[in-house]
Amino acid sequence: MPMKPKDDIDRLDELLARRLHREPTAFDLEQWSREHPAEARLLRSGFAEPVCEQRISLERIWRCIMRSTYAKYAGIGVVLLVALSFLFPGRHGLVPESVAWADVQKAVEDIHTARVTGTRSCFFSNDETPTYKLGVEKLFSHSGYVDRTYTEDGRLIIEFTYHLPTGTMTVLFPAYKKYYRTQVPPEVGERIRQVTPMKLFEWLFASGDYSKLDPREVQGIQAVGFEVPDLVERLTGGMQVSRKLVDFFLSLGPSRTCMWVNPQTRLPIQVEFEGKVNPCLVTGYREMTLREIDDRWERDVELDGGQFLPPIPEDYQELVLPGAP
Amino acid sequence: MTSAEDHILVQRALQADPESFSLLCGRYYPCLVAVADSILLDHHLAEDAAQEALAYACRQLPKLKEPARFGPWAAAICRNVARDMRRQRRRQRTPAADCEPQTLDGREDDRDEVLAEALRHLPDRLREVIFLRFYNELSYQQMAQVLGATEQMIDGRLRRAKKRIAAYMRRKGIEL
Repeated sequence: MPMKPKDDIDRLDELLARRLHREPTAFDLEQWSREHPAEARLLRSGFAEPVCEQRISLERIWRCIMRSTYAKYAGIGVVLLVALSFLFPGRHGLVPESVAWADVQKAVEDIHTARVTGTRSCFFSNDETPTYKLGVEKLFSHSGYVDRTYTEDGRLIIEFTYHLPTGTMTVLFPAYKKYYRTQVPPEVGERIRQVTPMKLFEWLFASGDYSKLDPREVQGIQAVGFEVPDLVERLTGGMQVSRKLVDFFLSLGPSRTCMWVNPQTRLPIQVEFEGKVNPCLVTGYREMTLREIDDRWERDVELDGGQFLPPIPEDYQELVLPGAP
Repeated sequence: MTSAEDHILVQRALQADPESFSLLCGRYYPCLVAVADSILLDHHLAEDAAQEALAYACRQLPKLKEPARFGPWAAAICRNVARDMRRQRRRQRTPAADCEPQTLDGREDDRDEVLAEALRHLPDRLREVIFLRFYNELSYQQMAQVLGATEQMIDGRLRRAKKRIAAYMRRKGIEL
């Protein structure tokens, strides 16, 4: 009786496996380096030749970021805290003009919810025109934080949410129908829950090198300004988030953050951030200048609590990066 | 392995992080050995070819335009290195060595020898997918990542390759 073709293939598979199968050979970098010393030197030196420049879309970069488990730590460590710090600049006996930090602090503490919108510009060269100009929307409440990034024409690129009670971070990528959700380690979640205005003040201003700015007209108001340099360094230090981990994603160089306050209401009306970003994952390993202006502040707005822990749409797939460090 | 990971590892390797290059090599080295072996039909030479290919890839890394496609890029380099080695070996070989008759001892050995002949008679491209598939039991997805092809294309090549091998063996009177 003739053999069926499927049986033939099965037997052929067995024969081929028997003949060809080998255990995978491990790559030994040390041995390879000994045999290829010039190449090993190139690797150690970061290559003498200039690295090819590529235009890598932010969406793609963010996709890479959020596929890494590092995001569990760094995403919280930087994005959330920087955002929170915009609301809570700290307080002390500083009395610029007629406005005291304590007044600002008290006014901010009385806010239950806020919606802040603005623009985020990314410059990859010295051009005046940003390479990417994005819209941002931030929502704050005692339930958590939402940060949405839009294209100039209003298309949602990324939605980042953090739900304070459960320590759940969610990132949605509508263009790719992908999501990333994780819970921060309990100790990090606890530290975030304990971020009080006073703590932020200690981290940001304890060294005393904040400065007051000359009054400036901002949105038609003669506003009082406060400036603090190296915001992220202070925050990561205060939160005890590993700087190495943070730098892997967003390696901020010198930066300055200014908060402009309405002297009548003692409330922030505009926050400006400008900083150099060293080559890192977020920038596609290029130098970048980041400039963000949050200039529209709505306070005590009605916010749907579900936004801070959004349901994952059924047709979204989870982003997974097996074997990530 | 994913292209996103490769993208990250390449960028980190370019930033003086040899460990990232090591991770890349660790991912693809077994595949590169399989690719080279499919051309050289000599495992030890194939390992040499794979190592040389990675050295070349290292030197050229700053010129890699699509870091996410490190796998197909390294495989293409490895193919070229292996072909060069094959040409060199052919020039060094005596004609008599190539014409050495195969010894066939017993039914199982016959089958194995004819299988080896069938593999030698396959076009490089088809032999490559066979080696990748059976060398380290790569999945279609992993093969697609190395070859820069779709899983459907991989499946098609594997089918054609097996069909040819089976036909060759039958012609030689070997039942599967």
